[in-house]
Amino acid sequence: MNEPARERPIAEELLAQQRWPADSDYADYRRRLDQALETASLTPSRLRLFAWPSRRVHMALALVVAACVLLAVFLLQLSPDKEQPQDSAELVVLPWDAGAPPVSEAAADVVALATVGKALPHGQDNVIGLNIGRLLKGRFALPQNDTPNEIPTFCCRNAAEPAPLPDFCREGAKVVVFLKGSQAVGWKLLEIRELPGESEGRLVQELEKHIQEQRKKMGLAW
Amino acid sequence: MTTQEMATLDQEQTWVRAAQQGDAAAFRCLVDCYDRRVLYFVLRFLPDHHHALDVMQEVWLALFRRLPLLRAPGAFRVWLYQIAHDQVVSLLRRQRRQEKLQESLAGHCADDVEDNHEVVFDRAELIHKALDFLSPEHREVLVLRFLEGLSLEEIAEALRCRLGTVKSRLHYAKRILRQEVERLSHE
Repeated sequence: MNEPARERPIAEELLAQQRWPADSDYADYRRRLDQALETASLTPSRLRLFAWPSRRVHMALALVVAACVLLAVFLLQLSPDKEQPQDSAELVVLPWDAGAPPVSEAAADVVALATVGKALPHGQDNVIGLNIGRLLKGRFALPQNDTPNEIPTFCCRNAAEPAPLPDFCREGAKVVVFLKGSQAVGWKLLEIRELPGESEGRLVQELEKHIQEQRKKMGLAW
Repeated sequence: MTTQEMATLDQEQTWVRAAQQGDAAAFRCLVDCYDRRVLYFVLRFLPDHHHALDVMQEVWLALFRRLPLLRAPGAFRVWLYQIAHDQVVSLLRRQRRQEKLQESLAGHCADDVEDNHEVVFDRAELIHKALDFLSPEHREVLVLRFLEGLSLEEIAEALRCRLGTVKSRLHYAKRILRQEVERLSHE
């Protein structure tokens, strides 16, 4: 640390240039300060409980807390991890292009209602589960497949780069997903739309109406 | 106002330890020792004397309350200016209702800027006047440097910013101050 300021004349010269408060103002300030300090010294400071002499106590407490955390982590490692997907090999991570423009129902092979699931670790990434509900358009099973319309376990990569999922993609949120692809070639998420609770019924009806109109127009059976 | 007697570092640390134990007289010695210089620092940002004295009271009270937390008595001076800096910033924020100062306090860093220790400003009157023409962040590094002779590391700690930022500010502050001193000397 440096020596006190009196060894630096510039400091004293600067102080000498200052137009100080009037003596009466300064005296009044010191009087108020003395009173405030007196009041503060009469009030036991809670900070004194954390003062230097009691550091050992705090260190001991910190060690106990750290030990508890380590124990909890160890126990969690031992217990089956319910947050992990049951079979991560079957988890279908949907590629997602945040910059893509909104799509129409016609561009999607599958349009479905879904519920946003839990955030899960998946390899190096974090993903958010997508629990597919009612299908509005398309099917998941291959046409030649005799098995029922088995729905893959979808999820979306959620990372800052290139862009995170929209804010409404929180656990439990209802959404509409527009998927492109098939079981054979893989799936891509074209768009994910929020389905606010208050207007859910109306939005679904509109979607169904559009899909029905396209179906008639194209003469296709979805 | 009278000039207060400067304390040696040993005296200062003795007072700090005593004040930490609740010795009010020792704390008053610290107030006497530093009050004038801290007030000079505060007045650089709050020219209104009443505001400045109000802030001074808050500074000393905050310091008194937190003093038991100070582990190294040798760091008292840096800590004192840190609290003064925080109180000034807090008041300016309240007054201006914007965060310009804080943004500028978190300004850019230029670690490679060399600090010129050889610069000697021997015209105190002009320096004192010129300080008013500097930006707050330049003003405060210069005041801490000239008034307290704090090291760059100590200034960084007091102002809660990075060492490189302090080096950069000091470099540019000296340059601008020199220009202002020149200008004022020709007026």
